[in-house]
Amino acid sequence: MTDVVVAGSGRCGLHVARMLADAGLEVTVVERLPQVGGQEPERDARTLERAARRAGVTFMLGTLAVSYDDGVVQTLGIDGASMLRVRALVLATGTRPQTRAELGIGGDRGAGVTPGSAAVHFLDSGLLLGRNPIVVGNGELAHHLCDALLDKGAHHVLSVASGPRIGDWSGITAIDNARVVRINGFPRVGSAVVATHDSTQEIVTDAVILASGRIPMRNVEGALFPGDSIYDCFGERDPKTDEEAIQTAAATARAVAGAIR
Amino acid sequence: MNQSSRRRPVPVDVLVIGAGVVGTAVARELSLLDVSVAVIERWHDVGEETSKANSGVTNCGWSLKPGSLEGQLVSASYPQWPQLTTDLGVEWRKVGITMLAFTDEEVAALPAWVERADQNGNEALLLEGDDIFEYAPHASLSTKMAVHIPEEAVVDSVRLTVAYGEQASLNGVRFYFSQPAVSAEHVDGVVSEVSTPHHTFRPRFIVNAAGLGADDVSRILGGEDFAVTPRRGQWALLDREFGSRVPGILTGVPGPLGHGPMVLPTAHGSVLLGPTAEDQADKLDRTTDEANLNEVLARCTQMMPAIDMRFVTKRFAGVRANSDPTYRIGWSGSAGNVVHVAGIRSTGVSASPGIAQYVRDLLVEQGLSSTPKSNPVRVLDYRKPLWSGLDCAGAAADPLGRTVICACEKVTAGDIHQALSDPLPATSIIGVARRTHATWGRCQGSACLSGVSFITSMYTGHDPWEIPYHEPGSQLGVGATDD
Repeated sequence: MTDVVVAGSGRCGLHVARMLADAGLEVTVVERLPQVGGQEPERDARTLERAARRAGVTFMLGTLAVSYDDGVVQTLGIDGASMLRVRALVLATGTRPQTRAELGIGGDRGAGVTPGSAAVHFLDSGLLLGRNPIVVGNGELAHHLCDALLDKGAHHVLSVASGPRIGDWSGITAIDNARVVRINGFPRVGSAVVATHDSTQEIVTDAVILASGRIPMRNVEGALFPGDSIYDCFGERDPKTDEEAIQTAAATARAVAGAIR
Repeated sequence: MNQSSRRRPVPVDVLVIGAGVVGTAVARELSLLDVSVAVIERWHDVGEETSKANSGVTNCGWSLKPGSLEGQLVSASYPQWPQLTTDLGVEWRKVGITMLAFTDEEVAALPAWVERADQNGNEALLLEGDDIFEYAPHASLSTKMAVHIPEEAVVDSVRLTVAYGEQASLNGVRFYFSQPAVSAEHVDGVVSEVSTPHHTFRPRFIVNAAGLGADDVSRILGGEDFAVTPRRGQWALLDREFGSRVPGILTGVPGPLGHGPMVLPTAHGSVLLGPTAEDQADKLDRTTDEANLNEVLARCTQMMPAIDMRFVTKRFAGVRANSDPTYRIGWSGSAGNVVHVAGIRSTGVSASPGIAQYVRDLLVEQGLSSTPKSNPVRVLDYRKPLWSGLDCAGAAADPLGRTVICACEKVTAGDIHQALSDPLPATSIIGVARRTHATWGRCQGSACLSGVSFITSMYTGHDPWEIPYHEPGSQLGVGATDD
């Protein structure tokens, strides 16, 4: 018997799950990957996981919450397929960078244009995405990628950001208040057109990495957005600090517990 | 050094040039006969040119000129779709099309379209007032009058091209990718040999289904001079979640450049907006630009005000092969054993079964064996992808089906395994996407591009940075990292 399925086991998902279990509900966390934590550092995730388990939360790892329909969550994972009848579903499936379509970038469809989240995995696995890459974005992910690319063999990294930069970007070549509007080159990217409010320039590059924005990952079919018995952890904006994350989780947990009781 | 003189030519009954939806459909049809067939394709996979970016509409023939070859072949194809798509494991569904009139001029044009549909044997309803919204609840309230054709349907045209190719391959047709026709030898007014960079063929008959390259191929084969002119169409793809609000196709009253943009549900529930119709000089220019696409989106929004561009997943462009006349299908006047199938501007998918049978009949009339192949594969053993039916229990029967790699499109490791070990296996990331939809969902590979690449890398025995995204030279990265 499960009262609530929490889809995703990042910081917010683990907090919400623990809070709901503390409130006396039967909670199952369904995590797509074989281990908990999402984008959270492993040690912090383990601590949160232990707390959740102590509170009685059940975990289904390596399992995707595929769909939600009329109170039933359909899952598929390493232990097979199952249907969980629940009273509420909490979406805590994390975030992703903006896509090319969302950024409105035109031009050719050559290779070498990579989502920032995938770029992290490629770099960690020894694949250098470009020697003269452009990184789009103003946040932590973009900053990390600029550093990692320089560290792992890029000759020159150009950061293009449309909004105010978060953190210290000294040492990184940057164009501010700018966006990539077009990418040229086939079969592989050869240049990008970067526009500011009063100028447009074509810049030679061999990779464009899209690492701007934090868009909620929405992949539970039938439950892409909050609705009847569907809650999410995304709130008005993506929580930045641990304290904000706990507050967001607590608000979600209160809403769920209040609705079920 | 003349390389081709050192090769042993491959004798074939029919050489098909081009592996788009038309070339693969012809190859599939011929694979049911006791003849030998080879297909050469200049790109690295099936459906890499016009067929990668079409609407997916299977026209029922209502709008086509009565008596035209196009109308004849589209109409001959339409009744075949239910059985054909069942056999091939391709999504196909009737959605209906509604042509909306907003001005008095457009209203005045509608009765002629009802009459045209009537001549073509298609049911057409002239709608006014509340009736419009009964058939097209998503249409704009400012619609003055409309014509509704219930039979219009949509197919997963990307999967269709792959499936035609797979069935052909299972029945013995050999495919040669990245092999453009570069030269030909002639004896007594017929083509005796056709060479690609790596192979030479000695075909009895040749089918020129080279799409945008059909004019160049005709010249290489010593055929007549004609021009294929490229017309670019840009599209925006919207999420399945939005698709539930789009039960049928909306289109405007046709103008000089064709039917104009559509609001179009796809076979698997997402929505296409487009296409633009941009005549251009460059056959390979598939770039998108915001200005032209936004103009089309504005016209789509006129038809359906509730269009919500927050659901946009992807913008892309395709290039259709226009020619004057269109539907240049028949024997070449100057290269005696060549059948051209050229200038199939916008109904290639809709007419593909009919074109294939028409071409088969032309070849049989000239002496190609009409003996059926004994026990050909007619039904593809194809496991429906999880995204299309969300049959989790079915997927879980295969241990590889329990690991979901692409969470948006619900593509499992088993699906990717199948794509990489198919009769016509994927050899690139796009090849895997074409066969599975992995990386094609709402996050556009943010979560799964790396996983898809690593699995592809394991299967093909290449390092991850060597895996092509699509064509050779399109690697994901530039090499190994320093550490």
